Amino acid sequence: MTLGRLLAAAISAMFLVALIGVEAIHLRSAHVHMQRQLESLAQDAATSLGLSLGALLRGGDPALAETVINPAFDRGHYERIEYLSAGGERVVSRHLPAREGNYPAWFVRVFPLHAPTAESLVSAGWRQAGRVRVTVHPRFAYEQLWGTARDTVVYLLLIYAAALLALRLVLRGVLRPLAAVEKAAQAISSRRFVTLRLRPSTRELARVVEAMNSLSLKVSEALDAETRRAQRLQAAAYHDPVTGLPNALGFTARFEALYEGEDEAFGGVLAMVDLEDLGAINREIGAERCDALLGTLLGAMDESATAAGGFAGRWGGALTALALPQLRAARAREALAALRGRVRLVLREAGLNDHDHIHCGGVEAGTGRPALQTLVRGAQEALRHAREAPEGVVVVDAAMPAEGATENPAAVVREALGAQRLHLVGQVAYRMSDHRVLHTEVLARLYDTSGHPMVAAHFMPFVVAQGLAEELDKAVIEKVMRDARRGDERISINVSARSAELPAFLAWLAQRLARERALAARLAFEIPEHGAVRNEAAATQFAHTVARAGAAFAIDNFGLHRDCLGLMRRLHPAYVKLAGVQVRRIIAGSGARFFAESVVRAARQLDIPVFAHHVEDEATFQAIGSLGFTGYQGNLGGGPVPWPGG
Amino acid sequence: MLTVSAAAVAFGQPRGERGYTSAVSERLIEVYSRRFGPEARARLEAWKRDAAERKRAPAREAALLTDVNRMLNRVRFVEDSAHWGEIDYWATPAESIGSDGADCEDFSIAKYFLLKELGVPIARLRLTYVKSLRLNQAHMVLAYYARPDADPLVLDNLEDAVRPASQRADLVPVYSFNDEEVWIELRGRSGSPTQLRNWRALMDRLEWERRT
Repeated sequence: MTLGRLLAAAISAMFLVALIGVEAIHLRSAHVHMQRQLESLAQDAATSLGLSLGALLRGGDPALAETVINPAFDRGHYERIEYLSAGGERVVSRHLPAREGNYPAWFVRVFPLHAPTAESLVSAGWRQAGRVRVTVHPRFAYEQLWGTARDTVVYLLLIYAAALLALRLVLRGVLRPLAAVEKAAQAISSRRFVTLRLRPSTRELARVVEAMNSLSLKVSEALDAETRRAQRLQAAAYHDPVTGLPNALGFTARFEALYEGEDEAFGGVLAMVDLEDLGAINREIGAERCDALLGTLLGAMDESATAAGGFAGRWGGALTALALPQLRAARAREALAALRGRVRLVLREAGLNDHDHIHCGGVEAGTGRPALQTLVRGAQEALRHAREAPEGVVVVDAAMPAEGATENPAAVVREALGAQRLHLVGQVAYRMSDHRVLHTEVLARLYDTSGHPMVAAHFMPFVVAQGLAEELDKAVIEKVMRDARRGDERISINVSARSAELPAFLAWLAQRLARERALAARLAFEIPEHGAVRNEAAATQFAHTVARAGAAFAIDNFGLHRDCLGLMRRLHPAYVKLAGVQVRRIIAGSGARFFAESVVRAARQLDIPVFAHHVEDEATFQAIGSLGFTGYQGNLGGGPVPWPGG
Repeated sequence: MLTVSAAAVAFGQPRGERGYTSAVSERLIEVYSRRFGPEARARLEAWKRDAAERKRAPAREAALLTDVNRMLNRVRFVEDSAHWGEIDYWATPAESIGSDGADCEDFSIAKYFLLKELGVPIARLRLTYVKSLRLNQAHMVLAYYARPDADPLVLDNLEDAVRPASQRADLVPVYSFNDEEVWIELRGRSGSPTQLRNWRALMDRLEWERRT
């Protein structure tokens, strides 16, 4: 029960008791007053009849007595009027039979009025002429009392209603800050630090708000510092200071983060662009102007790469790397030629007509899962050829795989989904401190028509390109929910960034989870960091949907983007999994160690556990041991095995 | 003639004591002798003694009426305003005797209560408002009805003789009452004398005297 309801109930109960008391007192006094009135009426009637009869009845004429009594009796207030002779005989007797009054019988029982009888002696001179006896009818008194009771009940109810309304308004005004404070307290207990803008007029609440705000401020300052530090570390490690684009390390990290996962493989073209005359330009226009020019040129290259769904990075010196995931060789050739033209135009406009030697070399990844190093070697090889080619652009087509080349991967995926040839594998995440199982990450495996498992790197590009990601995610979730019903295992499911952006998918997921809330509470849904960065509004929506359904929201492949800590603060996931490339860099002993520490520290402020991905061996485990990770996942704990096991 | 105890039983009450000589305690005498002077004690004790003797040796009612009238008429006549400082003060019998001062209402009241105590049924007694033609002013007497339709005997502080009303052409009766309805009220009805303000005030003082 809320404080507001308790107060409202208590106060309205007290009001009610008070009003019932008022009504009771009022009715009681009205009742007593009415009884007195009846008695007084009886006595007055008897006295006045006694006097007028005495004055008239010298001869003791019964007819005259009746004539005197009738007008009084006919007023209707009297039940009985009798005139008795001195000897006690009844001379005149008028009686009004009891009639039903306009009031309920219970009212008469609760407020009994007795019909008072009064007597007066009748004297004719010195002679006693008898007595007159008057009994008043209580009917009118009852009607009046009943009417009063009803009226006062109505008035008191109106007053009560008005009082309740006023109470409601007052309480709402007084307790409004309390609701905000409660909400803030809830937010803080789930480590979301909000600042309350309200200034409650009551001292107690004002102090609470002040304390909460100062706590929020402190935590948020600490997080800001951590975020800045992490950004600095990351920027220094990953970015080229001149152009702001990723350097070779940043490019590699990003490439691996995007395409080393199971869900997406790099199926496009990796290109290298060589600004051969950079050294000459530098000499000619000076380092400062050269850097500015370089910024413009690489900006143009990054634009081209972004247009192809990818990104660019300064590989070193005059060499720029471009990841163009959505382009096949032919399209890449066109795009690179256009880019080359554009760069040369910029150079000419800058008056550097003699220094426009640009070469582009690329290699198509095709199917299979070539490592970045292989692709880079291929691209540099192509670049060498491009220097000799007149058009300056060479893109090497991917070698067609000998087997299954005739099979249309999209059709196979569609068919496999339709036939439910979907298999799941699970990899367990363990706690760092005692190697206890924390959850199992479930991944999808598809099988082709001949029953061979399809490599994700082969089918994922088609899945994404054909818009089948949603269907695949739904199939995986459906299967997990079916198979996980038994047991109490906690399971995490990867959702592709594209599905997470679809309102229809969100609606479906909310509905699906609502059907099994108990199971939903054991599920966590991970989306990759790059997806969350690309469309943060959609990621927020996804996080809310999942949280509302009682499941957990998590971020996978974390720690690659510049603003990853800001993202963590805003989305407040249940946990984050640090990308494998970062974990590997920790072992390599670079500044990544400080970066990881920064991430863990910031996450701890927010109560967010950090998992390390790709912990493949004991050495890695030892290397990350002291950094404060909550859990780890990787071959050290066992590779993916068919799920559900047993 | 009824005895006191018989009257008390007939009225079914514990109230008959009010205004009786037997209700005047030693303490009340003490209070009144301080208030009205040392002679008050002798007057009150004589009054009590006289009533007690009459109770022991009951006389015929006619003789009793004359005796009581004569005895109580010995009290000095004083106007209320001079005696009590009020225009219309109905004194209790003990106040009238103790202070040795009364006006017409006080005489009638004292006679009424003494006769009642001595066993005269109150149905036969009526305090009667009259107009005195001789004095040309409002006056009060006690009327005694041997039977309801009888010619009443008049106990008047202006006359020691108790004469029938038919011989008192100087008096015009206006309104009469007794406290019969007081006990009627006890049976669930209201009575007329309690409606008279002066009578109510008198009853309150009598009650106070009874408790003192």
